[in-house]
Amino acid sequence: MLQADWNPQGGFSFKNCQRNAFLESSLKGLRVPHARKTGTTIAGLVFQDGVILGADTRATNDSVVADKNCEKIHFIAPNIYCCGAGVAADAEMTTQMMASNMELHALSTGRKPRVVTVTRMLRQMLFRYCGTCVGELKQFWKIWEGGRERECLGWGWKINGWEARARGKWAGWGNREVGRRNDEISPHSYQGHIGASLIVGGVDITGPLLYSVHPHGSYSRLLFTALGSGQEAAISVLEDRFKPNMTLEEGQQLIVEAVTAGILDDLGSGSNVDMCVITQAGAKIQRAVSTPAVISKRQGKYRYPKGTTAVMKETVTPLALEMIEETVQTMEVE
Amino acid sequence: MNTRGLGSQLKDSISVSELSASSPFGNHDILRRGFSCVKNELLPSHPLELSEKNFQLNQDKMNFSTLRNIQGLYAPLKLQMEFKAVKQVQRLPFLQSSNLSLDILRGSDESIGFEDILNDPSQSEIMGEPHMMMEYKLGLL
Repeated sequence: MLQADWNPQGGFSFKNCQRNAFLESSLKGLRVPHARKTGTTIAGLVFQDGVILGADTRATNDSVVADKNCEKIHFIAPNIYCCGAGVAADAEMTTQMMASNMELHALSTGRKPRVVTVTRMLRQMLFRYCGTCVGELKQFWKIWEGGRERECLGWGWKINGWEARARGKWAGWGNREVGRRNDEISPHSYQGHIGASLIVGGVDITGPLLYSVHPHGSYSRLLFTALGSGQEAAISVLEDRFKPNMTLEEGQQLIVEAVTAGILDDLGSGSNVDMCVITQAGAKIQRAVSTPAVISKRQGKYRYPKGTTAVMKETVTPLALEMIEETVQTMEVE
Repeated sequence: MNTRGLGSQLKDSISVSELSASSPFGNHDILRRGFSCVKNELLPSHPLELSEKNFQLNQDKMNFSTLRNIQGLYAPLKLQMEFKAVKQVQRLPFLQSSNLSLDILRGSDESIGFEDILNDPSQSEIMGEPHMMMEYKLGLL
């Protein structure tokens, strides 16, 4: 179909957005497919020789475990690794693109890649796709049937003229009817469109560095950090027991404890703890360093012996079958 | 040849397909585009749609104005001339061009973004109608 200024470009295509919005609004019982989130605990810390990154290995799809042993520590450069939380596909594609970009950059500059370069590229890309949050504070109403009574659900953000996302559910404002009821609306629930929070750690020419990057493009440079749904549990362990310039064993122990705290206290994290130790000499990944939660064995036998239930009546009905066709196929027996 | 400056090329709405229609109901492909609705074409369907459409232009504007402030007027002028020269794609309108020189001038031949991974135009499944596109380009349509 010819368009006046048809200039095919790559990148994101928004062709189906209107159709999706229309489908969602018009078909009441439709459950829109959600992106699979990692529901993670990722943690990182700096020790005396380098950086240690740790992550759990569970990927969830709403409330079902989608992958029991997924890899959340991604390779970016031989001396830089990155843990990804948030939407699994976004984290994966983002880190793969960063790895490719770092390789191209290293080839064209002739120098080894640096952690700050990775962080800057990530920030710029995430900010580009975060969407401008020029918003107005609006009141969210629910119109009861009949249109007479209005109940104020609270205050929320109306961003760019679009219905603000409140706690993951779409709401309306003003006179429009709210599809679902929202109890609390917070401006922070509007995620950047690329929903990936990342912990970037590595050792380069300037020393060991650890950065945490958030989905909207903000970042911070820290000595220890945790992200993901289990971040509160992990951060509390790290805050309690972190000391600067720890040895390798202490650092490994602390990371395992932090991620284990996330696994045990958060439903979105689970299975094993993966760990990556990066030093000047190189990086070493260990999968399944520890498994805090083991699937328990069944306690008893649940089969009943024959005759537990009394048989009252027995009838036998023979089926009248007639042979229609008979074929014989010889098997090759060696 | 488009001689307008960068600023006036910014789009604030999604373009409506403009073709001379032989009838009020003609030339609107309901099967591929759905029912025609002006509101659909004026408003963006996704918050990022407009910002993505204008992203390259905005980047270029910013880079050129920085270059002008640092190195004077001649630098961006010469670069824009090179851009225009390189944008005159020699191939026929319905054939895909790799835009290699444009990428080199912009510096995007050394980075990989979503434009290179998703929706690669060289692998697109739809092709424009060759005869119509040539006629349009030559002004016969």
